[in-house]
Amino acid sequence: MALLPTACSSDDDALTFFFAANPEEADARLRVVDAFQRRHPDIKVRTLLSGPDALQHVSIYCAGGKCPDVLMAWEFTYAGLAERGVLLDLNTMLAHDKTFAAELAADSVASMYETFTYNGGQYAFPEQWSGTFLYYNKKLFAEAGVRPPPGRWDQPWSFGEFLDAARVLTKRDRSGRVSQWGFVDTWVPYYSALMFGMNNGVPWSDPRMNPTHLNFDDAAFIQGIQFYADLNNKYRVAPTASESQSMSQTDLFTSGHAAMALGGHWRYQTLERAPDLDFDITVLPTGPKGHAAQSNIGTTGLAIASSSPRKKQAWEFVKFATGPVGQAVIAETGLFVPALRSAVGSPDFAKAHSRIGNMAVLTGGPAHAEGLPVTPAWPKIVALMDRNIGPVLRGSQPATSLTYGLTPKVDEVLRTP
Amino acid sequence: MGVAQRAFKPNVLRGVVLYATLTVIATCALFPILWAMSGSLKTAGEVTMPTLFPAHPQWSNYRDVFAVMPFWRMFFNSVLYAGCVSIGQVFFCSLAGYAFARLRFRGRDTLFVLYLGTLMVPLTVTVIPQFILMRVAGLTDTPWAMIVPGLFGSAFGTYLMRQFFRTLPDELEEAAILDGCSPWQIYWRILLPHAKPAVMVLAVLTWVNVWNDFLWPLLMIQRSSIATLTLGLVRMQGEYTARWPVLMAASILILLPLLLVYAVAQRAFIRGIAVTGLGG
Amino acid sequence: MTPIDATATAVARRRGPSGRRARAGRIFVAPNLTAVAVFMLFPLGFSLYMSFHDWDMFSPAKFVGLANYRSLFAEDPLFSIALRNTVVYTVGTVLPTVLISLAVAGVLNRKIKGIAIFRTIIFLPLAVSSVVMAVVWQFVFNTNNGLLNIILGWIGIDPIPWLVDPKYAMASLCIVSVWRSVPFATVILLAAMQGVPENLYEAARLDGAGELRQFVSITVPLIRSAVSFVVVISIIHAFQAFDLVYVLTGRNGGPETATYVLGIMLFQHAFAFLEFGYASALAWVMFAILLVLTVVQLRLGRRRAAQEERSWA
Repeated sequence: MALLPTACSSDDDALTFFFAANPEEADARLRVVDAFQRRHPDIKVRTLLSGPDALQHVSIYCAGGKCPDVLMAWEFTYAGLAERGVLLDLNTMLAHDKTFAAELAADSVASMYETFTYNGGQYAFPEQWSGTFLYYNKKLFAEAGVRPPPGRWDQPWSFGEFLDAARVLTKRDRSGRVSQWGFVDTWVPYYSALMFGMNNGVPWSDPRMNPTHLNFDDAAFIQGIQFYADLNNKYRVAPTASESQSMSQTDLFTSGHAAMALGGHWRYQTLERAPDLDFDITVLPTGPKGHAAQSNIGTTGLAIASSSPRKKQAWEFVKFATGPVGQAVIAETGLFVPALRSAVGSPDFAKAHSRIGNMAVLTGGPAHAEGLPVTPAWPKIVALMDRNIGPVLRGSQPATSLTYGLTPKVDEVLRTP
Repeated sequence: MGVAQRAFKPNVLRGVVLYATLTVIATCALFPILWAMSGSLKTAGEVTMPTLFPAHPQWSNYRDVFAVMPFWRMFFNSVLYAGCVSIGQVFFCSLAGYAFARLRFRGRDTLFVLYLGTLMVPLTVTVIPQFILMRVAGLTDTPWAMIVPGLFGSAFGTYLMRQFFRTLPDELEEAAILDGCSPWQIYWRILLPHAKPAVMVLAVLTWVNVWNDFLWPLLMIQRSSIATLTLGLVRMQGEYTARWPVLMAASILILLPLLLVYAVAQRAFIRGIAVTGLGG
Repeated sequence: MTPIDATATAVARRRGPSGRRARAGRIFVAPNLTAVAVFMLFPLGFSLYMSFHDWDMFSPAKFVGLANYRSLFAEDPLFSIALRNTVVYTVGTVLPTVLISLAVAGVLNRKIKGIAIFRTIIFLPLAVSSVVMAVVWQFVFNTNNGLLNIILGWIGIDPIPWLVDPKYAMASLCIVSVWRSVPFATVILLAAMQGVPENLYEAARLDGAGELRQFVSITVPLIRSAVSFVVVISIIHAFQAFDLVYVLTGRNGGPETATYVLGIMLFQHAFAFLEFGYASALAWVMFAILLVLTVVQLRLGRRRAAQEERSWA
């Protein structure tokens, strides 16, 4: 299970492929890499697994002069690298490869493809839809007699219904300690809080690309954030940071101690391997001001370093992984929800997810998703959010404090280039 | 109650109090490590309970560490870097220390004071330009980046050796000079063999410093094949958040080599500190 | 200092033994001095140069004069937070460290049976890396089932959210830092204490002074320079703290800004935001502060020593 380099140390002509993955996901990734190497035996690939903060690693590696050839790119964080010229404009490669360009154009989902279009250049091709939804434990729902949640994005359920289910599903033992949580969050808390804000009818920002304002001062948005924070502090259906120190929230769900878990497809591999876990997926709840259930256009893609000495080989790899061939492999291994329509609709994809009943949550995700802001100043925004949303999530400040506290700071960062 | 009895009682009481205090202090020094050992032998579920001891020791956690990180490779790397830099430091610092202590040349003392002055320069100021230096030299993500910066001695080490050489008697050198030995021969054959305590201190301090270094490997190392144990542990912490048993097992395993080095070198190290007058 | 060559060659002759020794001397120190020039002096100058520029390492550098410094002092609210946190951390580490190590060294400074074992054990944390200890202490500080809260539970105190609540995070950091620094300081102080002549204690005992009195009036004053050394080194070390903070409470100096110290701020601006010019300015400000602190420290030490000598005269 250890992610050792696929070649030995003296392999300086190998293609370096940088990506982030939890250990279970990493396994599936390697299978895709193997599939590539079987088709291109002349190209050696050396994988580089990221630590917890991928953007920081990429920044350090590229600033140090040894940028990995192929880089996993995230919708949040690629813009800063694109702007600094670290990433290659893939349009230049597409210009020489009209067949592939045509394939991509026909099969891509526009919203995901355009996520990686920055200032007219194309800096990555999407490889997956990584938006968030809810996993739920079918057995715990059945035991508690709670009606299973909806299985499609166009059948929303409300904050209230979600809360009621969570309350019934939160159980305490005799000493008052919680033995089963109604809801856990396997993503980053402040991102999830913003998802709830988004599901109350307000997008994170408008426009999506290079916004000058994030909607932290919108009352409906704040209401969603407050609802999320109240899950921990007021309604006590979700663990606080203290309570999830001893066992991660993902582990709480896999061990059957939580009924619902917010996460994206990146958790699927871990959950699938959990023994005795009977789970399915459902949509995020919709707030009173929201119109429909929304996920985020979460997407990761593959980019090529502009300083790479192996652009041709990198291009082969990127073409493979984001083109029809690689995406079909991805569908079959169940690694991601593929970005190409043909792969998502393929029977292999369904077979890889045979334990899931509500496939429409995955397949219908991109169509029912709202974009997240794309701006080069994202690292600073994250630092600000961490500092200001933290007290809200701990319950020591109301979400309305974000209006006068966070909003002006964020807007200032967004306005200065 | 005669004088003899009175003299006896306070001594026993004093002894008990003393040993008790020593035990308390020793426990304070050890308890995090003991707690880590306890955690490393628990199951994932047990770890969430506020108990002191595991019900059934899970030695498999230790085995899992080797499956999860390339432990031996990283161990080898740590030894390589620490060893090379320690040898380099001992050699170059003792050489320069001898020169500053015994060989006269123009500007020697001013040079020494200036050299010592660089001790004032904090790491934070030099780390970014050193990063750039490595980038320009193309040494990022190579073992050389871990070895070269510290290889050619340091102000602190030179100061240590110089102080020590000054405490050695002149007769040692004078006899050799009369015999016609060159400065190099004097250094290599006579002074260095006598310098064991100081060499010990320098070697141990350098070894521990390089082994435990975190910021520089964080900035320089990408591939796990050249990563150190320290960096490996932090990467593992990121991947295995809140999976305490295996994380604690890894921590214990990473602690052990240094504890061994320390146990072996401790006596000589402490003596060296006294001899080099480090404590003024 | 024995001028070995003074007897033989009164006249400065470049050839001959003194010339050879001088040349050897220069050659012997050359590698060290070259290394220091390359890895310390050049970086010092270059980082000053960078501090007057805006540079992200990928685009060309842009000269901005004193803008970085102005921004640091006047506009960046985080700088004062980081400075305050660093001062709190430094005082919260150095003060307890010195006091505790004095006491521990005093207890260890005896020739009773088994003292060697105790010394070995108490010096053990010396060998352990900040990183490993931070990972282990995270486990100790666990709110619901960490060792500290278990022990507190025995005496009836509710679990404290050590690493989660901003109020306690800095205290947690200081606890680990003190735990880590005490062995090193104890080693130095113990070595110094062992240099105190025995007859002073005997004289005091004959005068009827108890152990504590002997310790305070004899031991402590006589190891003053060692204490000074420990204080200076500890301050310099604590001021630049990074490893411990990064691993124990995360790279953002969290929770919120509770453990946001200058070292973390530097790393964040340089390697997360790619603002190398700004980070260099920050580094130079830290350097300046440390320099002033150290010089003041040395001056005070020298003045005190001079005063003492006068009082004994």
